[in-house]
Amino acid sequence: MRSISKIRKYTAAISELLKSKPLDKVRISEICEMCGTDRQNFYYYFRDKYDLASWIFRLDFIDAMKEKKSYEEDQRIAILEKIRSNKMIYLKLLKDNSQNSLRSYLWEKIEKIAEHIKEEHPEIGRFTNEEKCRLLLNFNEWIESIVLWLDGKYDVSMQELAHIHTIESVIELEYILEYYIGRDDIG
Amino acid sequence: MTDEKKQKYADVFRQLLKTKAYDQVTINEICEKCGTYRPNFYYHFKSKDDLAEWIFLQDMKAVEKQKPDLLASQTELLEKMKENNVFYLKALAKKYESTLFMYMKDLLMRKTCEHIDIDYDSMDELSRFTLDFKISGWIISVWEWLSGMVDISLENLSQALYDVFSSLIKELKRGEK
Repeated sequence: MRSISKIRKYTAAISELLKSKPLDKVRISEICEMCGTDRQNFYYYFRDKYDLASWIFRLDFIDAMKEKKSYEEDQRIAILEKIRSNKMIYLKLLKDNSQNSLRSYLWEKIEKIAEHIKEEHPEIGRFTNEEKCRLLLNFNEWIESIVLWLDGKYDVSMQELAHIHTIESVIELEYILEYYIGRDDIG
Repeated sequence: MTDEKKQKYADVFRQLLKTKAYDQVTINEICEKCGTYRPNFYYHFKSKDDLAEWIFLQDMKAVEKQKPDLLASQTELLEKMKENNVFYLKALAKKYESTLFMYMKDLLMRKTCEHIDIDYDSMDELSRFTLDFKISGWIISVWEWLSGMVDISLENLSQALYDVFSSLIKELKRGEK
């Protein structure tokens, strides 16, 4: 079983390295050195460094959901708070255009979450092709709105953005959390 | 016959993009394949980016003729973009950093305002923000569809984009009142 504290160690290391260089310049050996581990251990935990980078968001998401348990809008505010406190790293990761960007990793997950909902909660969504389109658009709008907000080009408050996300979202956060927590061998 | 000449440059540019990355295509090369010289190119276009923008504008213009039916014209625009697949994928490969992305965004934002008769410059901050991230989401979703990242039919995509667009228009109109 993979330990969550070990994953936190890895995300802390990559976050530190991302302060001074882009993700494609970060080397796995550097990350391991900072964590006092080796490549074998790294690959036991992650597919590659992009997979590790996606854990930065995943942990922020899980932590935010644990902090605020009641209203979806509050949970979304908590998520945005975490993203903002890590602004430079998120901007770097979200603006990355490479094939293995955080964007494509998140989208891959969203597709899996849709599959998960289809299987476990068929009453909520069947994810037909039309719904899949809505999901893609909604996902891209979510990312674009966060990038624009972090860039500070518009005077929009965190509350306003969280409100937009709440009313427009196709998937409820609870199901994302359920998938994140239930599907992985994380202890 | 300026447009004919411009079209020739566009065709050659698109042809070259089939084997090269956007940044690798030089103006000299385009001129060579067109049998012209640099001054002639610069008579028609300010830069390679300017040429790319012109190509998108032609695709836009071609579909704008059927203006009243937004869904139909959008479907046609997507068809044109699909035909022009290689060009759009390469010219927009750098997403935010590509000038074509910014140009398309700006043009589509202004066209949206024009369509619903709202003055872009006097819009409130939140409406402008909403318009911006929705249009950005539109361009990126289309790019991802062109790249084959998602397996969705053109009709499904167009309908979904149209639905988003319709509710955006309603929102903006409400915001203006």
